[in-house]
Amino acid sequence: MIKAEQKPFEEILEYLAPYNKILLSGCGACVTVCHAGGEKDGALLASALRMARQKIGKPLEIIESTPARQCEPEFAQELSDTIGLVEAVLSVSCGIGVQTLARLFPAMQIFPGVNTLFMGETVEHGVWEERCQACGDCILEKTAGICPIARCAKQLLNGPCGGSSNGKCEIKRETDCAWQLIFDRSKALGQLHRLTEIIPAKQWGVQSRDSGPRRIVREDLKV
Amino acid sequence: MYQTVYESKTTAPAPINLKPEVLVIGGGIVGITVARELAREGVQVVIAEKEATLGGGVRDLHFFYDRPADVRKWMGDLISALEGEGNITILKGAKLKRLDGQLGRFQALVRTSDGMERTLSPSAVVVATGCITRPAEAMSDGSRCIGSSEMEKLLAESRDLPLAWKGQPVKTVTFILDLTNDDIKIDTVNAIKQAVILREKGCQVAVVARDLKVSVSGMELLYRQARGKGVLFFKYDEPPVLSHKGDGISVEVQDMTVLRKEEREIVSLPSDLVVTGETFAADPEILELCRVMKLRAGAGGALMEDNPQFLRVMSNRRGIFLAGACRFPQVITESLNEAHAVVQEVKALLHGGVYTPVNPVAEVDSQKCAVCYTCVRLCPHAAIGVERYGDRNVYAAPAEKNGDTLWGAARVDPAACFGCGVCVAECPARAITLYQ
Amino acid sequence: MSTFEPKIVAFCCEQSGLPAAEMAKTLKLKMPDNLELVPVPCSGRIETLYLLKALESGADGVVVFACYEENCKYLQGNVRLKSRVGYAKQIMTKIGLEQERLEIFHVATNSGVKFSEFLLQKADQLRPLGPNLGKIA
Repeated sequence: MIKAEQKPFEEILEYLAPYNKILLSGCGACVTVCHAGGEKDGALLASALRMARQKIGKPLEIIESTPARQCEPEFAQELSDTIGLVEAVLSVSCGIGVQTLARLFPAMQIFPGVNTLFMGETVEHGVWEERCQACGDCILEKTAGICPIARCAKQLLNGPCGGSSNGKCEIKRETDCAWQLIFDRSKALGQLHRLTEIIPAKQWGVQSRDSGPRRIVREDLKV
Repeated sequence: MYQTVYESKTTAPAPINLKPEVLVIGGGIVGITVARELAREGVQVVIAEKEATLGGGVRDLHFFYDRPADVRKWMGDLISALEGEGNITILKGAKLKRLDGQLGRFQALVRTSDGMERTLSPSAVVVATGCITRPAEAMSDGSRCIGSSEMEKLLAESRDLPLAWKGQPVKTVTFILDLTNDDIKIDTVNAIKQAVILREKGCQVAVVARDLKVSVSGMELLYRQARGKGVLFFKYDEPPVLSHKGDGISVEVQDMTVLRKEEREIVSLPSDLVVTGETFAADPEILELCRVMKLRAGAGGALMEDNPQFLRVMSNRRGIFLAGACRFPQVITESLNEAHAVVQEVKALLHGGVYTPVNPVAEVDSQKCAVCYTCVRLCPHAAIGVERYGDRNVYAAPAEKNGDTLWGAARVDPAACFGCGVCVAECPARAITLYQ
Repeated sequence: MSTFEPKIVAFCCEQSGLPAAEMAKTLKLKMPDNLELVPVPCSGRIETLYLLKALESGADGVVVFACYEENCKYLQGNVRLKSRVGYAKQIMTKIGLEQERLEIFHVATNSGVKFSEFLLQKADQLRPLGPNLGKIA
């Protein structure tokens, strides 16, 4: 799922400095699951903002609302009445939600309250790690289910670099070397010979986002 | 808003039927006693014992410390009485593979060594899986050092004959205690018990211990009896030093009875045999059982929580009870006390045939639930679940699977909820409410 | 300023804090004037949000009376609460509120004297800090 982290408090205060009445809109999906911006964390942020503004003598009125998701236009539309009552919106959804709101409410300032970080998995409760970079051409079949694009600091496709040491990465010592993991798992599966097959360089400009935002079209689904 | 910690709700959760069926895991003295007493009250009991025979840890024991009976005969009588009892099914070579559900509707999958699997649906489960022992090492090469269960066997086999070990006569025995087992007293009980028997055989006996743990019913008397019979007792701060001397071992210990430290002499105890206590350890299989049963393991991997509010035979889950050495290694009388306590608790629970959840109970608003598993992970009582509805990719409330109850969410089982409110506080979607 | 009496909101765990409060009341021990008690079934029930909301709604100081660690009737409630208090304190630093305005104090059922003594000390500690400037009364 998409994992995000709340923006530094000072930064959010700066965005909201010119306004006196805002909507804080949460999202009931990904940011709820990683405790960054659902109803609970949104309410916590709202309370902190109110107190911070009260302290400097510039009270801030905050309306809180958390639709089930913000990336579906219908859900975002649920906010239209409330949006009419405020001067700006602080959205603690991921970047997608912020942009959906921006598209649907062109006359309204929409500010991001979280930094969208990565697509990742839950390592343990409260700990999430990056697993996918949406490269657009998944090679997990060749790498025993471990992604070197997301997990190797250098995004190498054909084995570790010389800095791999005791299973750890030379760029970030705490990180496991992705190719060590791929090797171990391939070995356990009896699939080591697969690693002798060369994985060609990715076509970043064609498969991935290097030539602009990608689009999926399902003609059969269109209404 | 923080004042309304509870919300009020007029409808109380529905009472849960409790059929008189119990699963007992472990066929040692505790499991057998619990099963027999519950069966006599008309409860259907299934005992799942992982070994091929019943008996458990008591297998190595021959002598009681507090009565003249023979343990093996006593055990044999217990087992035959059990096998004659109606209402009891004994499964040998059986292990619990899966436990779903909550109080009143547990679903237990038990696999026997022949590969057969059976699903049981007990209203309550009793865990009586015992502990394991490892010989404590006093001397690195192990010669002439034996564990207390080996001594027990030697004494039983020698009967009225003088004591011999590997063909050689044994005239002097030294017991060394407290190298491990900080607060467990069984090794002290066994040592003093065996010491008395050895004196009756004419051996010279010494017991070397850090503390004389006689705070067990009847042990102070036995200790005095041992002293009266001439067993020598030495206490130590520094562990005794062992060395080979001739054919035997010399145990050197400081004489602590002298008040002035400078005057303490080293006493050498020549020993034909050194008996070391055995270390009582938590059975490593307990951790797997805890994972299957969603029970908490305390420090050291045993099922005992070091928490004064955690009532002695209760586990962290309602309807699951613990007794005996798996909770804490104790003498037989104490373990049986716990067995009786469990019987009382189970009887109280099953009496009346229903359990009515007592508020406060938490409830999840399925519309808001993001199925993030936070509440499931954090519930101290394993009372919250998310289960698939049949094989479809829809999550449903457990055990209420009909077309109307597709929750798509986590669900707190009212029978298992203790009303602590941790889930309510942690839910990132604020989807859970505590009802009074 | 000399008439300022800090408002203290005390969350009391029903297993320890509340019995201690009742004992203090029975013994007629002195308590701070401006005190509000909020009973909770377990300190683990106290959401991080409540800690901030109490300050937002007018408290000058928030105190949580919880069981000693390893004594929690529900096993881990007080440990969760401790993490939440840590998180709330981080937020308070960012807002600019003094750390003394939020504290956990561990008690048992028989801690009537400790209960009242702690609250009096807390009131003394809060008085020179003045009212909580973040409150929206």
